[in-house]
Amino acid sequence: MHHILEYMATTGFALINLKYFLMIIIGIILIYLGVAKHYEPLLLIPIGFGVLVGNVPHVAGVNISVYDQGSVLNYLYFGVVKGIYPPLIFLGIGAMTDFSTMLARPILMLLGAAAQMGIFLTFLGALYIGFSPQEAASIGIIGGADGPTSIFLTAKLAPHLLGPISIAAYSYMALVPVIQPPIMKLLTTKKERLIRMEEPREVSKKEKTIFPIVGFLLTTFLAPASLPLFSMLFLGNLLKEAVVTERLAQTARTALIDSVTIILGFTVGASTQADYFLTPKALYIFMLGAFSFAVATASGVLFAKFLNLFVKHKINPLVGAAGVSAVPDSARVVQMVAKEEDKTNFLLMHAMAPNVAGVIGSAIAAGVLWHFMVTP
Amino acid sequence: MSLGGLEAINSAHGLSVTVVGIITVFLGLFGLFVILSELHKLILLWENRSGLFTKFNFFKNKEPFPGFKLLKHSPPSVVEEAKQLYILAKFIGEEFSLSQLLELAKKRNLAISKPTIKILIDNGIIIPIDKGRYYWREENITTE
Repeated sequence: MHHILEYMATTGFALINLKYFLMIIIGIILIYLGVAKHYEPLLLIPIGFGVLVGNVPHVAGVNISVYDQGSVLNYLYFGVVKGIYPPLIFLGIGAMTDFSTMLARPILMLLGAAAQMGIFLTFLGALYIGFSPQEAASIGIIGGADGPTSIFLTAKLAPHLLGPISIAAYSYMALVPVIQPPIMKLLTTKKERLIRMEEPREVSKKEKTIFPIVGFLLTTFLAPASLPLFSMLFLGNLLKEAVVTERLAQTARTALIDSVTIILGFTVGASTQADYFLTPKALYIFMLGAFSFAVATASGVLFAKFLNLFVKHKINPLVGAAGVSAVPDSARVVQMVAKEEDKTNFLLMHAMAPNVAGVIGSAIAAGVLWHFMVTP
Repeated sequence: MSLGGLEAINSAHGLSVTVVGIITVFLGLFGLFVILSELHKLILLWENRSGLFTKFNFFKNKEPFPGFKLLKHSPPSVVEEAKQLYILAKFIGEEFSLSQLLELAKKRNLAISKPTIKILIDNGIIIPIDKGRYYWREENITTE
């Protein structure tokens, strides 16, 4: 009887408290959003399940959590802490991304740059609230709407905030269809939302093959700290466009990225143990993350309106919202909002240009922030 | 968490980081924008590089069009018209009809006289094929 009671006292039922319970609810909500609402299911389901795993109460010393040295989860989490998984995901993203629309109308890339304002303004906001510069930089990058970049930078600068920052980044990415439309509608007139954009020109195979080499050299020469991300992104794209490496590209965009996404999502979710996650800091991070997304969306839209003062072929300002990256969700949101005004106006292809440019822009921003935070 | 406020932003050089960050992101994507805007033109130039070299080859005194030597004793106006006709003929394609040639010349406001065309045909520079179709003799023509 004594052993039974002793054992019972070590089970989750006996150890659970309000914090763990709340986290389990959050995990279930994330899974629900993925399954029922189809919000980024490939990410939210592994993360949500990871949250459940990370919040099963247990006694100290059993060596099972991501934070216990030598545990299985700790080994899997190693790839997050050391920034191994994000570049591998970038390899897959590169291998599945078609940069044609961006190459066809490169001016739309500038919208991807404008949307990165959210990162830097949030960085200032986080400093103002009282976060350390390293923490502020990691929080700011949430506005890049790029999960792997957020994890990459946070792992380098503020690993203790990996849980809340990655959950915030991925949750907001998933909630792009909820967050962006009101801002887009607020900042544009009906007439602007009805603007039809000219058909993009056809892009040759040679252009698409040369682009990853040119893109890699330019971006890494400008922001060398982003080398791990850019090298993989552009290598993946070169594998895709070179055609002769189709087998490698196929692996990178399917088996490899899927495997890494499962492990990354799961371990990031498992790192959200209530004791580490439910802190006032996490609350601020979520608030600043939402602010970052809103500023990024607004900057993209407003910059598109600004560009329209100079360009001959008008840009539908809604397209600017896709500059926050969150590929391809924010581009889909642009299409959705445009379609509400005019069912025959197809902006998806145009929105993909700032969308993929946003990925490049946020990685440059991460490189700049990393540089300033590690150099005295 | 530290105290925060404007002092925290100042001590972390927050504004400088922000300005440099925004400029760098814009510079990176603007640089790409400039390169990508010109990339397809550069590729086109590369693909037509032989034509480009011919165009800019000022040092070699090459014939302006095949058959030029045959007209070196003709009046300059005929040679000038022949040059323009050669460009038009290349624009139409390998084969052309005289009416096509004259019509194109008219569209481009070029004063081409029919006697010039006759001279070109008589000298074997424009060769008739059949059914009123012609081609421009491309091989080198010597005066011997």
